[in-house]
Amino acid sequence: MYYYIINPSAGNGKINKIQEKLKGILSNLGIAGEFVKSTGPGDIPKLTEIGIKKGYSTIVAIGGDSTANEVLNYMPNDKTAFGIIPVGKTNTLASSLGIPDWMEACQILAARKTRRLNIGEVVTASGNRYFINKIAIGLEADIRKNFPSTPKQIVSKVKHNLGILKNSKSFNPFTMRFEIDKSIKGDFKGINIHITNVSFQKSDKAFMISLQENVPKTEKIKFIKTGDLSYLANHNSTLYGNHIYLKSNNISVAADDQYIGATPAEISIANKKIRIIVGSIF
Amino acid sequence: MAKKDDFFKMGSQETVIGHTVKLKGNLKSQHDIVIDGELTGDIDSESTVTIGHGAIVSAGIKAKNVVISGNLEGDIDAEISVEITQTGKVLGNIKSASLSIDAGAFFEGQSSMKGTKEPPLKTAAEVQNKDNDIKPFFE
Repeated sequence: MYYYIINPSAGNGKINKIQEKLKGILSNLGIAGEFVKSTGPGDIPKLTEIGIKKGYSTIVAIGGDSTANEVLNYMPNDKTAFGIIPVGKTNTLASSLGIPDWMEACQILAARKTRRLNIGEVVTASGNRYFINKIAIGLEADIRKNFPSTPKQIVSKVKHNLGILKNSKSFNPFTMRFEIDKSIKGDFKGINIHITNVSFQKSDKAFMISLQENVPKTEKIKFIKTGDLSYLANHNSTLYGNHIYLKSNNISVAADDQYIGATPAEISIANKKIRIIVGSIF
Repeated sequence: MAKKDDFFKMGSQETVIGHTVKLKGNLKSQHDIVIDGELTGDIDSESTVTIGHGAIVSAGIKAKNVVISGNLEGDIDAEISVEITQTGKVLGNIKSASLSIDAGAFFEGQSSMKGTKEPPLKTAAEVQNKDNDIKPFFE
């Protein structure tokens, strides 16, 4: 049985416009279940816990990255499957799991292809967070903090992208002292560090650590055209490890594209695994 | 649509140490290792290790192939080949099946070739004993 947690404010209230259609599609696919709505901050964790207590086999987050992240962080183990219907302003997490939009998400939920994934855990002074995809430290995390959402209109989008570029120009390179697997000690000067969860690939290490010194001009132009932040991440160094400790202070940290706090930060594979419903390309 | 840095599209698993990175520790990988920054420690790769131009490395290297265009202080044990390019500088011993040193490169140390040892010459007594073992075809 499916348990749907709706964030009514996600995507500027997009869910309110599509709710009836969405319920109709889910019902036709034979996966209608209980729908619950969050009414404010702190609601999503409570609703997730209620769904798990009620014994639902699948918990689905209907919203954007922040909704999905919040639900993910309260999934206790791999007995209950976790799904996403992306209707938020930013839906990177869904996209990285092979879920392109809310319509296709319904089909993906019905197909119920699940993968039991190792998830990462990041600990900062603000607490601990779980993540599926990646941790960003530096410029990208700063952008996530200052520009948490992307506008839909083209003109506002271009303004938004130019604002991000301005932010990236005024961003000073930082020096980071780090430690990998308690055996490799290093110093890096640059603008971005990305730590990607590669634990479920044919890799003997859980994380790929990518370090970026600067942003080349050609990539800036591509970014203005597309708004794709990955163009601002042209990595110069790549390392692999299972446990990463970022020692330097006060550099912004984002988990799965959500700003979560600042360094120092410790990143490792979490003790729990999550069963996630993924798209066919995954 | 999925973005270009999505986690299911992982690269070649090559380890790269960029210009602005300084590392202390041992690197071990089944894949290529490229160093353009600074490293102190040992390197062990089942593939190719490249020390880029401007890199400063103080390490023992064990790999299949090694290409040096930067500065290396340490011994190299390469299964197949070692190449010191024009800008390369090596202070250490090299053991490899093949070694090439470009004009302008610097190498101070001993080199020994792997897999090219000639069989030791037999002594007269050994040859004599062997000859005694041969029995005549018709007795």
